[in-house]
Amino acid sequence: MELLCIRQWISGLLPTWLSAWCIKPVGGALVRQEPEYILLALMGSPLKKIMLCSSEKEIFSVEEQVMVQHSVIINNMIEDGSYNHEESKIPLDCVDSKTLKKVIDYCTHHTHHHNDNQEDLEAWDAQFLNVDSNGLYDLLMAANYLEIRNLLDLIYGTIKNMIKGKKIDEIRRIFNIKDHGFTPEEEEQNRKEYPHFY
Amino acid sequence: MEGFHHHHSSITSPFSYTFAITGTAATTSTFNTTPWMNSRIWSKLPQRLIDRILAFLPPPAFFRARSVCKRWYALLFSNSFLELYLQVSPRRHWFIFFNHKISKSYIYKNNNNGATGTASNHNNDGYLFDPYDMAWYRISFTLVPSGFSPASSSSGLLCWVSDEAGPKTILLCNPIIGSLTQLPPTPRPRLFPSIGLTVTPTCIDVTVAGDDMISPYAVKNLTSESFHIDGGGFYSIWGTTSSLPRLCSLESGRMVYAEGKFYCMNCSPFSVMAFDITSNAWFKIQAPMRRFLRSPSLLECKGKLLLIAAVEKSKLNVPKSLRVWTLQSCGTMWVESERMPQQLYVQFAELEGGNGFECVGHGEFIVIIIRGTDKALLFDISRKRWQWIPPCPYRRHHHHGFVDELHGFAYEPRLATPVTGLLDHLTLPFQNFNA
Repeated sequence: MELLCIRQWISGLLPTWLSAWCIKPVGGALVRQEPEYILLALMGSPLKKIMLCSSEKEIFSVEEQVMVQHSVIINNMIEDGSYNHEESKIPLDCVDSKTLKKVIDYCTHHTHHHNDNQEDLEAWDAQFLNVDSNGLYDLLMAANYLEIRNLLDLIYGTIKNMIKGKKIDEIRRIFNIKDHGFTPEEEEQNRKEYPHFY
Repeated sequence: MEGFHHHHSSITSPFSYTFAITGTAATTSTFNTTPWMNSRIWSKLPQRLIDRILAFLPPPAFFRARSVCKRWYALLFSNSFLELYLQVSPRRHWFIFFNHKISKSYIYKNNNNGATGTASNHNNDGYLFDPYDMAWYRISFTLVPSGFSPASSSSGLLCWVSDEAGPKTILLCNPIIGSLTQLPPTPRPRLFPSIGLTVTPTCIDVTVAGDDMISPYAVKNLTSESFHIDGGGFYSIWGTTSSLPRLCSLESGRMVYAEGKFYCMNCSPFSVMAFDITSNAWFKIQAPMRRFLRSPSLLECKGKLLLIAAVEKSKLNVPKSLRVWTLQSCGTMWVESERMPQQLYVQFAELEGGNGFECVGHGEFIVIIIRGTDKALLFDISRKRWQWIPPCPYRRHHHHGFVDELHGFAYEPRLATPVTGLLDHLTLPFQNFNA
């Protein structure tokens, strides 16, 4: 952290128009350092940021607090010291930029608005999940990889609502279950147990 | 009714003969709007994630999903799936209702032919109500023998207590998977006790309070006994008893659990009896506006104790209303937290006609059942929404033309209740209920 401060202090001596647009190579990618980050780094503020790198090699800068609160994986990385603020970015090779941006959106909103009332949060969540099937699938895989419990609960809740009304044949089609494995007698038995579900 | 079988493991017992869940036609209307799911996307889901979706399904949908394929069918018996289920399954604040007459008069009417065990009106059907979808389901409790009545519910288990006066036998039942576990009988004979049950993943607490029939002169001697067992190895098999404060009557027959205590409504005058489990002590809490209350009930919501009642100040110019109070952290003061909108109360009072009503609460929901009718209101505390509940399509109408009273419990349907395994370690003499 000290090395970073000194470097930033030096760049702080530069004319503001230059330091504001300070572009440094970080781990092979280019990232823009926001001026407030430089100032805050000097002040040692809790608004530390971390870098997340999508599969398309795009870097996203996020408040460390936000990601640590939501993602178990990122929290572990920061805690066990494998993330070096100075040099590192966290590579997320299975998450594309579009999905990563959405995930960051979710975590940021929920951190900053966690005191909001239930209805407002639910409305925001519903709007957030207003995506197509591909988007929902990608969000699910990303949230699963990053282990973001509340986002996972939200997504699973949505999928559950999509599934729970569907007939058996329809569910088989969706998950491409070609061989259900029941004998005709067993199928008949299943049907008898829950006649109203057919 | 044949005798029941003591199931040792709630996980491996086949359940098909113990219950049937039938959905209502009303529920299909909510299903028509589900979006089309692209199989090219969803068939790529890894199995573990599919299992997680299944763990999220409410029980009726879960049992339907079991018919999809053999692998899904077997999940109910898979320990790894049940572990996942217990971790991720959301809390479902449902209710279950029964047709039983649980009132003082039952001890004078002997509905059950106890000797033969076959009562003509023995009907252990429960009506499961989902307040999220406003849907009814029916569950049979065929494992529970006659001569038992439902008394309490916690964490997916329903507590049934023997009707006959004497030492009481208590059964814990999970109707979803067809498991039945028996507690050791209470040492003291009791007439009509109130039962409190609270179950967590690692412990079971039961308190039985009421007249212990010690005196042959029919003077009530009110005492309570407590049962505790936990995963840490501590257990107290009806070892703790304590006496209740004088001049109390536990007529409501039911206890509500909140913050380490069981609460019970005390009548004439209205007050609340509280039992602190850890200190094994009873104390009284004054009820708010106690001289003006009608049909008070106790509920638990988000860990806090609520009292709901109709308020009628006939002498003052105060409109009659239905109010909800919350017990504050100090444990003795109440603050009014909700009131039924006046227009709705007018409608409600007309239907109720002074017959009284019963309330049950679970999570953010309160159900208010008007006695003698099949009308019930649902109040969602977090959304401040009042709705009339569609009548249950499965209830038989009494041949006299009026409807049996519905008695309800907060019930959370669960696919697994492994805590009952703690009871299996107690070696009990097997009690056969055959005639």
